[in-house]
Amino acid sequence: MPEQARFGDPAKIELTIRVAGVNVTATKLGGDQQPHVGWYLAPFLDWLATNWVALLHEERLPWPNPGSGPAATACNHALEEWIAADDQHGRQHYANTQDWYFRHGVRSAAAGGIFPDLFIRRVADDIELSWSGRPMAFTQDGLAFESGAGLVRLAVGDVAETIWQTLDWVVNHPPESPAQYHDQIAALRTKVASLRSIEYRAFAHTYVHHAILEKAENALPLFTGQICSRATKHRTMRRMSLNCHRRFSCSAA
Amino acid sequence: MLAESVLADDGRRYATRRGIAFAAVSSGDGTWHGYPVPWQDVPRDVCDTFAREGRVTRGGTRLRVDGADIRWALRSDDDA
Repeated sequence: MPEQARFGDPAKIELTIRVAGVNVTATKLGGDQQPHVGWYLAPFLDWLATNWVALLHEERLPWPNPGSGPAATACNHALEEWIAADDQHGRQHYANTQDWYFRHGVRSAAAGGIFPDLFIRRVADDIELSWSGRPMAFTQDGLAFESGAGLVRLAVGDVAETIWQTLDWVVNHPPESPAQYHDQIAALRTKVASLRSIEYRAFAHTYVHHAILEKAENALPLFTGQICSRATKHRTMRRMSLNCHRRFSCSAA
Repeated sequence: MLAESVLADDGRRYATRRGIAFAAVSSGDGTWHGYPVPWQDVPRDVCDTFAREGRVTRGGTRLRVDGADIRWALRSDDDA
C-alpha cells in the first residue's frame, strides 16, 4: 500500500519502493545510506500512467529465446544481445526488446536520477517484480543498491492498487512547483483520470493476438467479460508499497 | 552539443560525443537539462540516425560505459 508522509520542502517528492519488505530504491555510498530516490519524479509518474495497461497485463517477452527467468535478467540480456544488430531481423528484435524495456523497465523513466533496475510485468495471474541490483551508468564509484538482485510475484490487485493510489495521491496533492510545471501536472492529472475509462480491448490486446481476439469476440460476445475479470481477481495480502514523501517545511523544524 | 542534437518523438533531444549518448529534457523555461544516458535509453530511430551519419557505430552502442570518466548521476536533486 502506498504511504505518504509530509515533511521538508513542499516543492519536492521523494520515492521509496519496497517490494515484499525489500527496499529496492536504497543506495549506499561508503558509509552514507539513502533509502529513497531523490530526483525529479514527474517522468516516472508519467511513465506509470502511460504504461498502466502494459505493466499490469503484458506478459510475453517479444524477443527470440527469452527463457523462463525473471524479466530483469531476460531483458537486460536481450538488450545487450540485439542493440548492435545491423541486419533487418536483428534491428526488429532490438526494436521489440527496447519497446518492451521502455514499457516495463523502471530505469527507462529515470531521466537522470538514480533508479533501481526494476522490471514490472504480468506473469499468469500475478505481477512479477524483478530487479538486478546493477548500478546505474554514470554514477559515482562505489555507489551500490543495497537490495542486490531479487524476484517477487504479487497479486495483480495489490500492485494495481498501490500504483493507482500513488498516482491518485500525487495528482491530488501535487508539489508546490514553479508555474512552468503546472501544465505537466495538469497533463498527468488528465492521463490518470483517463485510466478509469480504458476499454477492455486495450487490456486484451496486451496478451491475446488480435486475430484470436477477433475470432473469440465473434464467436462468443460474453468472452469480453471474462477477459475483464482477470484484472480484478486474486486480491490477497498487500505486499508492495510505494512511499511518497512530500516534504513540507512547516513540519521539518 | 544542443545544436547537434536530434529531437525524438519522446520530446527529448539526443546527442553523442566520444561514444557517449546524452539526453536533454526541456526545463519548461526555455532551457534544457542534459545528462548522459546508456545507449539502450536512446530511441532506436535516433541511434539509426547517428549510425547513418557516422556519429556512432553499431558496435559502439554495445560498449558499456562503466569505464567512462563521467560521474554525473546524482542521488538527490539537492545536489544539482
